[in-house]
Amino acid sequence: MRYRLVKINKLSGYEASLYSIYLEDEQRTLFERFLEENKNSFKSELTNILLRLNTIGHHTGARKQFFKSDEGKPGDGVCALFDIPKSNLRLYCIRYGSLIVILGGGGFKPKTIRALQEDKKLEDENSLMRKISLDIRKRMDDKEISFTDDYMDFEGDLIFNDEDDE
Amino acid sequence: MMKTMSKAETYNSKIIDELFDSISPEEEEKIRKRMLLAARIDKAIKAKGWKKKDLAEALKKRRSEITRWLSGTHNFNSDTLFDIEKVLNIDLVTLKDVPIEQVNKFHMVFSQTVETANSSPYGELLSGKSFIDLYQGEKSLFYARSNNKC
Repeated sequence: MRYRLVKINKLSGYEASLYSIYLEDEQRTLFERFLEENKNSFKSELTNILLRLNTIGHHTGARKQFFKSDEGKPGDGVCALFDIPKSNLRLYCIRYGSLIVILGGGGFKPKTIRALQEDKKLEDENSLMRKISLDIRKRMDDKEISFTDDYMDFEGDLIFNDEDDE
Repeated sequence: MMKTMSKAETYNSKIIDELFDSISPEEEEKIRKRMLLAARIDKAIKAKGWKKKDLAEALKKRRSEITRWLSGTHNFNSDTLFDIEKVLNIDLVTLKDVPIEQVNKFHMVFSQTVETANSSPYGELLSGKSFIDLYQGEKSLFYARSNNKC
């Protein structure tokens, strides 16, 4: 999989930077794919999610309280945006403090399932975010990626290609 | 392969722009205020040296309910906000005796009429032939006109 980290202009502001994963094969980000997949069936939920993300970027920062933590492995930052009451459209993210969030994908989580492992689509989206978090961690350990001085952005080699690692 | 070292590319998304185009400012304001309210409550909990469980205990609520309140998605009712204000000793709902918009309007109109008293329909106010209730603004002026006929 070849991808790169991109900063979403519209949602990023003085309080937080919102990133997503641009998939070279699909020519779109994971977050755009999530929006495309759900825009017809869950438009009002998507609107709510977009407005919350916009508020995070421009007004509040990515406060921990706005996310459902521990959706990945301990310390990997994988979380989900808090589910809207009466809706179960779930969006997975990776949170780096209150200043950076990477938006991934997600999908509909029906009330009838309790764990993400019961839904193949959600499990795949979650696994992908865990993998991306690990990729970034490796690059940070190797000092190929770092935070900017104000901790608002990533800098370094932000292009990933699984073939490089083989 | 040579690795590049740079900041992330700034990305503009057509679908995000399209979705935003269909959102009303009122909708945006409502979501923003819910999140700012949740953030304010969270800050107050921390300022008091409390945790979520302390607020839950003080208000006799479950911790999961406090988590939902703080998520920025909750539509609070006024009684809940009053209860939170009381235990956290913060101001979440501003209540004033004077309806601010009407008073502002009155001040604006009144200051305009000082210069144009003769031509203004509010000229009566300056000549003492009418009365105005500060709290009711224009509504009282209308009442004075229609009843006093001065």
